[in-house]
Amino acid sequence: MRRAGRYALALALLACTAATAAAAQDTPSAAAEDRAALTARNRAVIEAFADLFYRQLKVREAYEKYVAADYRQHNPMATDGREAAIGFLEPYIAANPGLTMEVKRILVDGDLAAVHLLGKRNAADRGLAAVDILRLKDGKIVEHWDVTQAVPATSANPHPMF
Amino acid sequence: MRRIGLIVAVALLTAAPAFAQHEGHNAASARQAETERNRIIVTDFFDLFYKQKKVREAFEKYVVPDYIQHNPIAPDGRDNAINALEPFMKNVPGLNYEIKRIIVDGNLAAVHAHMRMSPTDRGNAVIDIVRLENGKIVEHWDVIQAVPEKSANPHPMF
Repeated sequence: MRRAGRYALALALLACTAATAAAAQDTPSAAAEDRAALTARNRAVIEAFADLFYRQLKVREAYEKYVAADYRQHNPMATDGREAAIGFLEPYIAANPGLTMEVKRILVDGDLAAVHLLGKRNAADRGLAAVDILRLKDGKIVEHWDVTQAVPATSANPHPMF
Repeated sequence: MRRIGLIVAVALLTAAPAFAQHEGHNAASARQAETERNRIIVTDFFDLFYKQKKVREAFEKYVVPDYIQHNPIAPDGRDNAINALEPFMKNVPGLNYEIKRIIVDGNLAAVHAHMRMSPTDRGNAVIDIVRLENGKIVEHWDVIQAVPEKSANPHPMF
């Protein structure tokens, strides 16, 4: 009987271990699935925003469709909020009719996205290399950071900055 | 007989989007698996390089010898990167890189960092983008901008 009891205990322990292992194996894959789904949803939003804003330069349409009204701004030249961004960008684009923003690559990872682009005021401009980082919540852009650098005349390597 | 053919055709057409959705799901899962593999590599690389300042170890472990450089002040190749970065990191003892966020998407990763030369330095905002192939970094781009004294909004640049 005692041996049977010990056997039952061993079985119970084994069952517990197996359950823990199964749970541990399940959890990351479920989390990865959720993250993949979130990334896919946000990729569609960012691709649509990038097309409207960077490629077509339709500032108001892009921002009203995809940016939250109270979005948080980290670019030190701009104030918080969607209307402030539209108010800053629309006149700039109107004043520079030759302006282009060429999107080089887009990365999307869960609730964050990075857009690497070349902004040029006209065809002769060497331009500005920029990376915008955007945070999304419920399918809207809610926060923005960026880093920009003027493209220099010469390079130590044979490649462009992109 | 013709009606059966029609039914089969309709059934096939109806099944096609479901199949496409399944394929899309598999592609998203495969991409996520690649993302997670590369997240581990990129996180460890920047921990060794930026936080621990072990330049040679980081580059020899995770960067291919013939890696492509787009930073306009640096030439191509791993050894050139090590030779430029090792003395820089040693000669500026107060140098500090604070990693703010890492974005990984398939074979690409972006790292947003605050680089300061001393505790009183406002420093530079840096975004590095790297491309990976078979678990190694093969290409690098970056943008660097000095953090200004004042901002139009109440937030830091990060």
